[in-house]
Amino acid sequence: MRKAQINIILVVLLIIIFGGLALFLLSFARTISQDEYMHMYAHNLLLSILRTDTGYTDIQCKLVSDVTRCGFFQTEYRCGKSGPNCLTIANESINEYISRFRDIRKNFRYLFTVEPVGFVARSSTGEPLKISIGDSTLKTAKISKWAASEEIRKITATGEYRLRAQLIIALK
Amino acid sequence: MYKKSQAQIMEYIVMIFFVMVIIVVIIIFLSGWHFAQLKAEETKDASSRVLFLTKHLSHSPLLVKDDYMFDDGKLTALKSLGPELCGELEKIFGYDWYIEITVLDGKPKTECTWSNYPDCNYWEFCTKNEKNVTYDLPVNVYRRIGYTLSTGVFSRVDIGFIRVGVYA
Repeated sequence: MRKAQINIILVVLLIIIFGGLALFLLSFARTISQDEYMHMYAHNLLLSILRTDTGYTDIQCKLVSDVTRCGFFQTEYRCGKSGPNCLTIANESINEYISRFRDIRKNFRYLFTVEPVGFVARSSTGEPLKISIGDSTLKTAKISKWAASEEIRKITATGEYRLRAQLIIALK
Repeated sequence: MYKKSQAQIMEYIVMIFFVMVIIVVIIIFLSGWHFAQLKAEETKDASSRVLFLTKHLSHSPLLVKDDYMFDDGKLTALKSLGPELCGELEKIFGYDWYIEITVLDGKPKTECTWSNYPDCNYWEFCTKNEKNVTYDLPVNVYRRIGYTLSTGVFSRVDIGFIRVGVYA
């Protein structure tokens, strides 16, 4: 009878091992395609925002990428001659476009940042310039997140300057 | 002596019964697992196909001006081809799929035709009312008639999204 009991316990253990293995394999199969999709989504959202029109027709302010470049390198420039400055429009446009996608994808968290690479851009009052829109905790959060980045370049007489636009998304 | 052997036989019968029950449970479990694997594989295949189609459609010169930038003029021209269009598109991109392109301009969704172009913001191709696997992705839409100023008509790039699906 004892031998039979041992057999039964072994069989039950075997079932538990099989169950665990199956669950592990199933979860792994699902994450692969989700990962590819999330990368695509982050990259496309960043690229789409940068390529969208702001509504202004001046060459410095036409696209979001133009107005962002202008915001860091021509801090005093006003779009539409007497309109808001470039950085204000960049902030407003990015915020507006992100919020349109936030309405579609309510289960996502977003963080959009633009930072100078290798130099410090300052405003007329001397403050360092930076764009940061969305959930700022995403940058340091230790969770599954997907990031995409693009460079915005400006070539001047003193050399080439680069801004890095980055978008991080994560599931809520 | 007779009673003891009878008890032993009973013990074996009970043990065999339990072993049989466990074997049946294992068979049911393995069949279930196999079925779940097949389902997962099917979903994975459909997802891969949707992702492939999304990339393929978003790079096709038939629909876009630049990668992931759909051209509203091309889309509206395709719509004007009528009911045969879906069959023609299926010859290029394969069967049983659909695509919807929406401009996120804050206005109510209006499907584009030659009669209402450019005051519209939505195109759909090959849509059917069937079970499907879908993905949506942010894209740009190139509006040929974007701004009308005193100096002329200018193009504009809007933000939008595409929804691509394959029928299960």
